[in-house]
Amino acid sequence: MFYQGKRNIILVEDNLFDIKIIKDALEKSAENYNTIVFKDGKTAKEYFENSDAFLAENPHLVILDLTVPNISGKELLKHLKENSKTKKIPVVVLSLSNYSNDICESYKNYANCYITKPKDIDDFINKINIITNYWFNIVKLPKAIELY
Amino acid sequence: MVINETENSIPTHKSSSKVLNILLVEDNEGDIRLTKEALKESDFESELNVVKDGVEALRYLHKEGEYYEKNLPDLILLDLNLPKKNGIEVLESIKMSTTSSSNSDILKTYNLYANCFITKPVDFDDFIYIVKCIEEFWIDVVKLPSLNK
Repeated sequence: MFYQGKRNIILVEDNLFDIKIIKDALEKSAENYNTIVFKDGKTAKEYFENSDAFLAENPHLVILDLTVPNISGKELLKHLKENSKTKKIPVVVLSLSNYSNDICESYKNYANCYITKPKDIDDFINKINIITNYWFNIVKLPKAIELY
Repeated sequence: MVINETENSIPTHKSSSKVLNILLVEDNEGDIRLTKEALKESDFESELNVVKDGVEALRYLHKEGEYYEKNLPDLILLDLNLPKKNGIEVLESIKMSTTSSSNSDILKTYNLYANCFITKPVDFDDFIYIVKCIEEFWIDVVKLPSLNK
């Protein structure tokens, strides 16, 4: 079953190059993605705590880099998964780190999955397409009940 | 990961050399057979262990009795409608979380920190396809945690 409406993705990422790759990949897709970008953890946290903007945009999926400034991705992940309003939203950790402590810590803090960023641009674009295809076309997201 | 019944379909598949230890918690013989066949057809190596109710799943994961020497799985495919203890109760137990106030299975499972919720396709080809998509994503794309950490 596919989503009929807009697919809202929250991207928490400070690297402008990575933001461009991810946004371009989503825009070139045939699906209707709406990407909301936060370049630091603090603004992202404020967004999730501001119920008006958060409820209006109805985010389906969070793509989270671990090394964003102000509040780190690790802290933001913990916050999202400890908060009853946000813990159900799937969080895809997308990080350059292949370090097993980062991977384990992310899963212990209930990241829904951990994916490393490829260095090659085509591989990166391909991974973004696989991520969105998996989460929006294979998986049932919690917001699905509000969309159907 | 939670798999529940209904329909669906989708993408491609790649090869991998990892041996993945999968625990399938499923009481329906037909679905067990389909999952085995789908994994057999894939070009990656896996070890599939099957338990048929929620109590056995927890005994397996706690390495009780005959499961003492079993390795913990890399991935759990968990049906929700299980005898003795249902999938939600198993999830509650393994993720050690609080109960959800929502009536929806989807919401409940995400609130209990399931990694994802997938509906079981009724159609055979779709079923094979979904299992392959799960493989592709969790084996080729995702980094899983090492179990000794």
